[in-house]
Amino acid sequence: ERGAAVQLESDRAEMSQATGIGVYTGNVELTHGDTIIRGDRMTVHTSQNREIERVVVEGEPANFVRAREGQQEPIRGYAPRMEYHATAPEHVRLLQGARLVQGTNEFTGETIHYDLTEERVAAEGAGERRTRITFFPRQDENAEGEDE
Amino acid sequence: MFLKRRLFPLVSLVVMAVMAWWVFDEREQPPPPTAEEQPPEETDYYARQLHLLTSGADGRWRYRLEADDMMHYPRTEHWEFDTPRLELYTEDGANWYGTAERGRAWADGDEVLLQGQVRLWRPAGETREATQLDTAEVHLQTQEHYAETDQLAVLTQESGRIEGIGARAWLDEGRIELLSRVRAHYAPQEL
Repeated sequence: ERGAAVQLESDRAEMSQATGIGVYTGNVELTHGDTIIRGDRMTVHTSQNREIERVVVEGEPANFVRAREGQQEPIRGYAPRMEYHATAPEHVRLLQGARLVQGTNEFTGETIHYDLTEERVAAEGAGERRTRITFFPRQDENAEGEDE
Repeated sequence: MFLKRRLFPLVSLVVMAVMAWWVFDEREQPPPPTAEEQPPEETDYYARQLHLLTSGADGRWRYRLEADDMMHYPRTEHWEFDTPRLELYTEDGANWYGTAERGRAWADGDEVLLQGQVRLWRPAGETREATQLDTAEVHLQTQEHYAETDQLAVLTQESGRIEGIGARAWLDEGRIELLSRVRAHYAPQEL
């Protein structure tokens, strides 16, 4: 099955026919279905069958937002460097000090791996940047608790 | 002191006289002819169904140019041609091709300007994807195998389509820069 096309906008771009790599610089924004990624520089690697293999995103910080229909809160990710994989399983790796936020819940760590299809998170700590998860039960869960 | 007082009016009188002569003289001379008014340049020779093959100082073929009609202008030392078809020979044998509605060449063919539905392309190679660049005008430096435009440029590759305003292309390396307002569309990804 074929997903959505990947669109990019930027100030400049340099394409290499030999390597199939495209480097986009300046106010770069990538859109793929429900996912929007923003950064200062994006390097797009294409595979042998000319599909996007991965996109390396750099920014201060680079960020992404994923707003799914029916989802109350969009999920947002921040990191100086990201690797986005558009082909299945669609996922993004947040590197060099990552932060993932959904509503009031937050993950931080050296690296965060977020599976966009399964909506699963895996975080790794390193050195001082230990993994930290902050969960605030949502208001309505609280209210149900009190009614019983 | 007395001399200074007398000298000053005299000098200013002379200056004013010179200024007046210069202004009047300017007005009498006819302004230089504008480009439109210049007499159309005469061609000295004219070719039909032209096949031109040029080589560089090293004796290697640089490019082949075919055109329906070609005119040569001696005064400005340039050629003008209709529906040019171009083949640019590259070092690795992966040649570039070009077509346009019209073109002109000068500096012994080192400089070529292609205009009107300009298309430059290079077929796919073993590891290289096919690439095609479409724009309204391209200035080509045939020695350096370098092309540039300040117009909207659309780059079509198997992986996707990228457009921008202004482009620069180093044809031997197959490296193409899009200079502003870039928009890219990559084909839908397998799920």
